[in-house]
Amino acid sequence: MNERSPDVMQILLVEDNPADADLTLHALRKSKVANEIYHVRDGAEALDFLFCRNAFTGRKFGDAPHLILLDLKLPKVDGLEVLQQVKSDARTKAIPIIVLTSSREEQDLVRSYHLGVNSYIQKPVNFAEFQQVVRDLGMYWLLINHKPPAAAFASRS
Amino acid sequence: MAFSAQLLATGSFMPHGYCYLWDMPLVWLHIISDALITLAYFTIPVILVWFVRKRRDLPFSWMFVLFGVFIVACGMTHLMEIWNLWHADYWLAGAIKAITAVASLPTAILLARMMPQALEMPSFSQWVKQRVLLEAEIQRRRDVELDLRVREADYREQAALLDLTHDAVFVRNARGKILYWNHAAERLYGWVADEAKGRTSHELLRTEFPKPLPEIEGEVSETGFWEGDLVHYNRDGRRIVVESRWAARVANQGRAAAILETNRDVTQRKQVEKKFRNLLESAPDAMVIVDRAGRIQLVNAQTEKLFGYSRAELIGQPIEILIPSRFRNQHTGDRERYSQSPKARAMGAGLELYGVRKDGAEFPVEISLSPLETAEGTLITSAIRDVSERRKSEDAIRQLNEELQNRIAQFRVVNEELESFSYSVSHDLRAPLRHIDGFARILKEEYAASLPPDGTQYLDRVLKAANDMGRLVDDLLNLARIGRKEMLRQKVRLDDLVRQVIADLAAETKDRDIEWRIQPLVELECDSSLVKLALANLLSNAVKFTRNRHPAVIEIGTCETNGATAFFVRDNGVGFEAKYADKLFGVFQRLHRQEEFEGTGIGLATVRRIVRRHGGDIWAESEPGRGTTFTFTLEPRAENSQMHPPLIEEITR
Repeated sequence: MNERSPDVMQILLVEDNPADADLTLHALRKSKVANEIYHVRDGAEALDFLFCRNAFTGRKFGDAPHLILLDLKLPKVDGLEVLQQVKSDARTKAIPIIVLTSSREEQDLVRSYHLGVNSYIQKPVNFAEFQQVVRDLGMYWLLINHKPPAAAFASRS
Repeated sequence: MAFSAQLLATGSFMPHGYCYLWDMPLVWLHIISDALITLAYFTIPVILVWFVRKRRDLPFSWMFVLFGVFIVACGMTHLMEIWNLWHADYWLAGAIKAITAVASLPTAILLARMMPQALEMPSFSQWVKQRVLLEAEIQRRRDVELDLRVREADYREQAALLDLTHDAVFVRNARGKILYWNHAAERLYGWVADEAKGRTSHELLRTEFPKPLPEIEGEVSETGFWEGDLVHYNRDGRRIVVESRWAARVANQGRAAAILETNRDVTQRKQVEKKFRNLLESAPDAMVIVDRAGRIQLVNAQTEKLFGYSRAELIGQPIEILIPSRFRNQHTGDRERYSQSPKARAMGAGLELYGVRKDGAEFPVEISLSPLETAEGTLITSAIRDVSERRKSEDAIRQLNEELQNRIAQFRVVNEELESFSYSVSHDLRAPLRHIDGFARILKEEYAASLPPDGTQYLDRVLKAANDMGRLVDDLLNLARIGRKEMLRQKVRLDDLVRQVIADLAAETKDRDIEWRIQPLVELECDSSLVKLALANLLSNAVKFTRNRHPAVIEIGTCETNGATAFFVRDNGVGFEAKYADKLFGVFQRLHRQEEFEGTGIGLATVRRIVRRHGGDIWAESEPGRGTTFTFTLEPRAENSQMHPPLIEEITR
């Protein structure tokens, strides 16, 4: 667990299942791509965090995470709803979102892409494969890919 | 002799000329006068004789003969006068005079006696007058005769006209004897006029009357007229129905002196009418024929049955009697509009129509209308069908349909539940597996040093179990997805699919000695992703069960079965006993132990579901140790295109 102050993390992990969260965090740590990871446990908390409200009132939109790892099946507000809200708001839509889910339902894929997801990854059952996947996506999104500049999170973009 | 000698004896007399002293002019005066008289007197009798001979009808002709003799005698005396001028035969002259006297005296007497009779003879003026009268009479008679002749021609012409008519016409007297018999009667009955005349008409024609003859005769003597249908038999014994009209010529005391009977052959028309009536009667619908005013003219038996009225109760009634009262006003208007331009059509298209029985019960009907042209004007025929039963069936069908719709809705709900179930399976069942696998692997990799060797082995068992379970979940999800997935049919070359599948199997076949025998396969319409999945299952099965064969031979080809193109996948693998062939395609059905050949028991169930969704089928032939052949079709059988329910069957097993 590496939950530090919200303003320095780089990855927001939205995952309600602690086992899944632990395995993901383990894989991320092993791949050594993420030094800052913030973990929220449902969709409502994720939205509060991203839209800087309630418990996260102090946060600024400019300090957006580099990447959101989003599970689809979430309590309160589900992952597709989170995706829809984030991608339809000018202040948050630039944040890359990767759906990381055990679902491979076609409808989930279609809806995610329609809502503007940046990547869709089904968690492999095999943990070795999962570790590899996590390592690859960390490498790509945090090292290879250029993160959006601060201006991308302005309300008028 | 002596007398004749004396007559001729001149004696001592002097010829008569001496008396005239031979004064020659005087002598010649006498000669010429006597000669002319003689000539005249000889001529007149000749004329009289000629006249009498010519006029043999002449009354008193003997008088003319007497006159003739008398005048000839006179002529002789005058001839004698001439002779006596030179010859003194006075005795002869005297004798001739005596003869003349003898001839003239009776003539005078007879003439006198004839006078009264002669006086009775008309005078010439009288005769002329009579003649004028006679001529007038003759003229009058001639006129009458001409008139008669004209009238006779008229009569003849009229009789001929009567012969022209197509109706059989005959006249019979009070005793029924035939007096007149026209041509049409000859033609109709086969007896010529001469044969028929004098016969009793009812006997000759073996007349069958619609009611007792005395009644008919009573009517004729009362009104002078009768008409009705009669049955006659002609000379050949053929039965003829005639429309008969009797008109009586009434003599004194009101008795019929003669009856004119006019018969029209309506045998054919009656037959047509009978056919028409039979047709009408045997019609399955109630047939009601109304006139333009909407009055019922004709109904059939079905109408009586359907509406509960007798024929007599319906004829002449307005058609509205058969319609529920609440529709009557509307109907009258509709009917009048229809009468304006009648044509065959269904009545009240799209409306529910009702009839009403005599007992007031209503029932739904279907009515079709058509105009019927007749001599009495246009009639409207309506065929009325009781559709109560059909309405009931329709209601039943509607109800069934509603039930079906409900069931479908229920199925839809169930299907949605199944869908969310499979969604849950895909998401939730997989998650714990991943966790087992993940944590076991972390344990094995990061804490291996602190585990005893058995512990590491057990961890491997845990990992394998989780892996198997993962495959099972995936296969089950595939199977469920086949039923739900929309079929996307397109032209596909099966060869291409087979090659793709073989390429996908590379990982499993890379260390194997496999001989692939692929026949050219047809192009056909199917869902390529589903068929590919089916082929993948079949081929990976073949690869799996030929594991111990060197080389393994896997053959893919095509054949004809039941008129459809079939495909087969044949291997030379371990095979199985034929009696298990039926079990092969069930979910979780396996014929080999897991240690021999791994598998979830879902693959062939998936294949069968795929081919059945295409309308085809799959079956297997096998023998232990000699390999297995799977044959499948992807289209319905030509003769019996029975579709298999794609979704429910395996689930309910």
